[in-house]
Amino acid sequence: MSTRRLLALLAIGTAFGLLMTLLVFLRHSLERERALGRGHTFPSITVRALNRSFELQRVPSGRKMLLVLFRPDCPQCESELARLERVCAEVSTEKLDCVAISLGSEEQTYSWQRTQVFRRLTIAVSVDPVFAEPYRDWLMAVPLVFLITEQGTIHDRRAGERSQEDTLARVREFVQ
Amino acid sequence: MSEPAAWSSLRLFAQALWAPRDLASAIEDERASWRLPALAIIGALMVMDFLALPLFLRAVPQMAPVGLSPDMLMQLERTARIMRPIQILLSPLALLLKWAFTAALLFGMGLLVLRPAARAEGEGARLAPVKRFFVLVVYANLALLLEEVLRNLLLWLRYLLTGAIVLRPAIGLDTFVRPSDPALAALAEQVNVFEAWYVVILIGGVGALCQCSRSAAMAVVLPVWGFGVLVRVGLALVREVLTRQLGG
Repeated sequence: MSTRRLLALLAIGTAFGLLMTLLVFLRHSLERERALGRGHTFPSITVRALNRSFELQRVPSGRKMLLVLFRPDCPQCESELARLERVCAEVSTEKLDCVAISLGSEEQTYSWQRTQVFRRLTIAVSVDPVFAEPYRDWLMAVPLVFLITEQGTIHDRRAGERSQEDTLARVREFVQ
Repeated sequence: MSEPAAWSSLRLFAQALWAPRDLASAIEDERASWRLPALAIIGALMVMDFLALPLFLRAVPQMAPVGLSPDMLMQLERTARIMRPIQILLSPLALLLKWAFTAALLFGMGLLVLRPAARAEGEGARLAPVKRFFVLVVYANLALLLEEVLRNLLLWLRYLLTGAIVLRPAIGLDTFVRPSDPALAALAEQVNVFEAWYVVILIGGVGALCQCSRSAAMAVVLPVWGFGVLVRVGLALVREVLTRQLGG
């Protein structure tokens, strides 16, 4: 095989290979998004609460929950979490659990949360490391916010930052 | 006596659509350049997109994900108002890159499939330079321009007659089947007369440029076309993932 043909084979093979990988990856992301859509049951997991003396908690908790999936290295997540902390502070602890699950490692999340002040929001990591795997991709550089019912069903979900007023209105409507 | 330039260009356009082998001869003789068809395609697409801009902006709320809050919807509309004209202005660059990439892929497939070294053995196939593939690809896109013209015609007709705005009217297999899966929906949209026409022009043109059989030309063209289809499927998936992320 001549060098030119070999180069052509390599270039075309790489182009097709990259495209197929991207398509498989996108399919995977789409399945993940579908699984976490409104009306679906949020997967049952155990989390370690890093700002609650490392106690273990079940998610969904069996009570109404505001749950956030975030990454400690994402600036959007940081500002949204600060906003959600204020939203949760407006709602009684009896009515709503507020949990933010980090998709980063426990060490990274622990050192990050030490630089923050969260009283109402529980900052946690999943005990099962496999849980975070499907969410670690380039599309997850935004916070995912869920409102989960007592039965563990996803009542509402959204991505990215929203105004505090909008989130508070949705939360109040949810807990009523 | 030489014919007027405008007439000669029109003849090349017609050859691209009806007689790609004649177009290939014109490309070989360097009578056909890529600039004029490229300008015609880019210009026509930009004019159609700018004309449809008010309809696009009016259709933004119906394209928005379900469950978006009013302030997010306003933000989306504001972004669309700024980004859509920029997208239209940048589209020539994207088209030129797409054509160049297609020509490079055709050349690469030609290297693999046609075995130019075998010419001495009497097989006769030869590999045309990338530039000639590029000219062929630009001319072949005239078929896709006709597709866009028809879509725009349907868009405006439907809007004027019923007031409904359907930005991508179905003209292919998607007229009969509407799969819920975004990848299949994108595939169904690709199965239409104009895509087939585009592929036929490429096969005829590559066959004549490379002096190879129709089956060899198909072996060069079909994987490249398949690559383009997969890219569009990928874009449809990206759109779907982002829509679901935004709206749930």
